[in-house]
Amino acid sequence: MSQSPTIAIKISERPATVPKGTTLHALRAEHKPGADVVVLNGAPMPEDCILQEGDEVVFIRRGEIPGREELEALMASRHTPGVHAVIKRAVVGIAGVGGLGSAIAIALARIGIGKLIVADFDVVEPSNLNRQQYFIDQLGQPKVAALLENLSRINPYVEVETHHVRLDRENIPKIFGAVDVMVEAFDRADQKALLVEAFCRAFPAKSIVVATGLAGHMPSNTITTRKVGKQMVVVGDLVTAAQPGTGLMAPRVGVAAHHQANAVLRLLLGEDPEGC
Amino acid sequence: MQVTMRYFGQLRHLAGRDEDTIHLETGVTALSAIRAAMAPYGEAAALIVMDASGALRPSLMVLINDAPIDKETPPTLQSGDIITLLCAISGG
Repeated sequence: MSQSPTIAIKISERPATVPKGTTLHALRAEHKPGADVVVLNGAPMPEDCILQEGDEVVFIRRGEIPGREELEALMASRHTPGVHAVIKRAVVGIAGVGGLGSAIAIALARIGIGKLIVADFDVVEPSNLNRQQYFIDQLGQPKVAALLENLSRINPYVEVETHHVRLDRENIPKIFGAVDVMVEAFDRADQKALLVEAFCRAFPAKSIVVATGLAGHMPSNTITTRKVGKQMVVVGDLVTAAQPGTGLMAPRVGVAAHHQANAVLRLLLGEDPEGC
Repeated sequence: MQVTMRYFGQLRHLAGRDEDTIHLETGVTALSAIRAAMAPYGEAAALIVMDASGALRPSLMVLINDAPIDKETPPTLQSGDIITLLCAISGG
């Protein structure tokens, strides 16, 4: 008895085999009845059609949140499984969730980082909205609470531990003891140095990613990532302070924040963050 | 004894070089070494690393042999030590 011919496709990034001649709508009825949106090979597909070898299909019900396993499978496929496995078990600390820290947290949550430990004493103010990843209806909220809300809308399966507290030499080692990589994302220069001193003294084998010199609107390529000493990775141009004429603004702060997030990722993967 | 001073950021711009080698009496602290290293570069360099009282600024990061130190208790230096100076800049 001969078997009916089949074709290999992907459904939500997972390999699948279906009989040759299967239609898109028949597959929808089988896998996700009532799906509002059908995406075929990266583009919305309103009409029915016969599936071809190698097609990639995603079914979406608007408003439905994918389960943890489905989201993990989608990300593992994008990141490659080995890379994603490292990301998924990583713990990253972020001190300060203003312009740098809120963008770093979002970047890491989007790639499905295992756990974030974030600390900040501040609340969302109107002047923050020119660069910080908060919304106008979050004014007055503690930044860590607003960030938790925003991260949960991006990926509800990322564990986020929040501390609404002013960091000092005593509580830094207690709060960030479990991290694999630490991120300095403060605004004040003296606080940046204090965090480096307290963290490196408590955890001499762990890395910390620091930012310094990111204000204004100078060229993006003046922001660099470099290693300084055994533990520190320093992002920024190292000279441009926030002052009249060189304010802190979303574009360049965002460049620095994503240098920091990428440095974290490279450190977790055992790669040289400077990469020269 | 001889130690190496490495500069980053504003200090590198002011000094016009990446590092200096300086000669010191045996047993001096990192604070004394930093004061001695800044002397040739004038008041502007001194103001980056020290306040009016001569204490190291809270924003200064000091590494000895690649490890950040606690400025509240600057250690005694050994010959051959490498001291790295980076003054943090506000903004985040």
